[in-house]
Amino acid sequence: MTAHRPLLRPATILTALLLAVTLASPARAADTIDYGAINAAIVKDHLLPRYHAFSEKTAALVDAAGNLCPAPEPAALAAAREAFHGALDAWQEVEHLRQGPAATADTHIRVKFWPDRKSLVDKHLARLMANKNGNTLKPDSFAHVSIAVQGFPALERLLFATDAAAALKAGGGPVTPCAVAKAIAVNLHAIAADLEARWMKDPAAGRPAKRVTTDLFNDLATGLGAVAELKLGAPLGTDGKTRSRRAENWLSKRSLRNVVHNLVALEDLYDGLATAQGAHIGKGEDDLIRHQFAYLITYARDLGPSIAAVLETEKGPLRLKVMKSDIQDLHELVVVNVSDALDLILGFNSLDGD
Amino acid sequence: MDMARRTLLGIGAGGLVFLTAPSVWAATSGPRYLGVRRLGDGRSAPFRFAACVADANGRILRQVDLPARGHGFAVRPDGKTAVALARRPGTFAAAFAIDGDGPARVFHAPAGRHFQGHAVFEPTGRHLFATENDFDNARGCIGVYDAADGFKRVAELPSHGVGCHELVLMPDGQTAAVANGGILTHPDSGRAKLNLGTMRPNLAYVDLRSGNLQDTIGYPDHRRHKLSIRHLAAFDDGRVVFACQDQGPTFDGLPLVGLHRPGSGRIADLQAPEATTLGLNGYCGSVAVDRGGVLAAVSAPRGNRVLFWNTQTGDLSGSLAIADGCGLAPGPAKGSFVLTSGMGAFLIGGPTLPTPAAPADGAPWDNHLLAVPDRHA
Repeated sequence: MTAHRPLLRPATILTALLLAVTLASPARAADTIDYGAINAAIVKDHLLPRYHAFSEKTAALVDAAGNLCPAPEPAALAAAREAFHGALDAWQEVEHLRQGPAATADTHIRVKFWPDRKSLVDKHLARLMANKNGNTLKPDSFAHVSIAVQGFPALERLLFATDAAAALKAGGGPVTPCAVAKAIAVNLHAIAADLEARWMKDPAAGRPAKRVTTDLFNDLATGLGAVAELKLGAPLGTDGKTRSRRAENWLSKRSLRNVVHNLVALEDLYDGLATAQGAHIGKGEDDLIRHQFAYLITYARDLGPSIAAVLETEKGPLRLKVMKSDIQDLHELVVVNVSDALDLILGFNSLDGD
Repeated sequence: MDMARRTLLGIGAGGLVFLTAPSVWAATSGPRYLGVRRLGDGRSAPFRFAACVADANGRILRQVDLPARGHGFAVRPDGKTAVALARRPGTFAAAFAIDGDGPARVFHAPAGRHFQGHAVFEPTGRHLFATENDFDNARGCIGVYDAADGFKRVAELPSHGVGCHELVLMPDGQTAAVANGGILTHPDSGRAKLNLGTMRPNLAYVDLRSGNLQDTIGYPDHRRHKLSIRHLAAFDDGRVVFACQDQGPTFDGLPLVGLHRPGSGRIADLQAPEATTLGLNGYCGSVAVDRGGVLAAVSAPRGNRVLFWNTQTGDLSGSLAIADGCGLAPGPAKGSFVLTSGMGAFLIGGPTLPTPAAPADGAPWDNHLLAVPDRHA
């Protein structure tokens, strides 16, 4: 562990900051905030480069997966795994964007069917391999097979199982494992290219500018919540028993690598909102938020990519719990400060609790 | 933070004088809807809350200021009078003429009780039954108010559980289905949940004349005791759809919506694909059933989604993405619902209807929406 604890525990000063914001409630001329300009800058600097990277990395994945049939050489399998990591890194940096084009067509579930408590990925993958119709793997048909086998989790099974090399070679029917791997890669690239194209064509998709900014803010808040509650919360459990196989991408040993990419992208989105013209986040709060992002990214990176490996160390569960709680605090800081600075309502109903 | 802000706003709003917007009520036909909206920007002046009457296009026909944030409504069967209930743990209720233009008549829960946010009228329209918290005895109760006597509180019935929230009248006109959420709260602790370790929610069918328990059902296993049953709606054939808020780990992806027929002794889960259920973030906001007696709609504002089930087959028949969507009521036609959101949306949607266009932003609609019975029914 080389990461240092922050000088101040955010929880210690969180209450004071929140109270200060509540009491001050500075009158702000909301009409000086140009939401259209904020959105345009975030789309250009945050969103499009990341969707473009996702599209490029999935194109590379298609190439690499194409070399797996009929029987993968060790070098081809290694290259496909590397391409899988590259494409999944890119996805983790757009995963928080749930609005706009991604909100239609079940994009998130198709790209990443997780959590999967009923092992539907394995079940539907087995069912797919038993299919006698080779046309099932053609792009138009494959977009309509079970969502559980259309994305990264199913591809991960094929590429990272302990007997992957042999398993990819197997299969006597028309639907072979290596052909399925290729079909998933093609499907992922089609989704990625479609997302990029639609964002380039019409970012607002008929929504008023302030709504788009609100949605971006919601994506930021929801993204932070998902990292804490789901990505760290699921393997940590609630009954004192940790469950490393509930971690995201446990098989490819990259649960925390995902978290690092999530946090990097979320920090960038925060930066886009916080530096918008007309947004005035207090310097103290802004410094603290940026410090916490940087600290958490370093901390997660230093722990290593695999949550399972961290959980096996003596202090591992504790470190992950502290990290989860730090992200929850960061979530609250971001929600309060961005909401106030940009005059955005976040979840009048969803925050209600009734 | 939320509490602090709410407390401050509560003080500010409490001092408001009743102001009533001029009524634009005209001879509009078609169904009308009741919902609370938040008004103002909260900056130049504190937020205000108003009970609103809207037509099926979302046009506001009448707006009645409330002393503070409201929650649910009860409407008399003649469709002329409505009562808005305070959001828990508030103590006010505001009765107003749906077609009129005067201010609301405000009455209060007695000392030692506060409203839980929902109420129903009996079919004659005489008595109002409101869910209340008997906090010192840690039990839910139903306060009975006489509409013919200035909403004087005339009786109290047990809710047969803890933390009662929504109640609906069953088709027999004399039984109420009550969602006992199971969560103990006390005004000294605001909205803090005091018993998450031992909570035991249930659905109770209470005879409104005697207060007797006719039937009750809860979840059998320990994990599901964490599913707080909060909102419900009844079909004309007596089946009840209810929706829960999970107080346990939400990544368990437990089904949050159930269907119960009184006397059956079992809950039928209304299922969705696991990834869909997980996307609801363990939280449902309100429930409605359609005029055709088949479809149930459940809103999940933390998942920005409204789900529709065919309750005869048990199949999920569709869903709509709607940011911070919560309010739900039967739409004008069979198979349709009216949906409202905290972003100000007022939409008509359903599993077989086209996806509604993104609406213009407006004042936020609060949690619940209620359809006013037809005047000539």
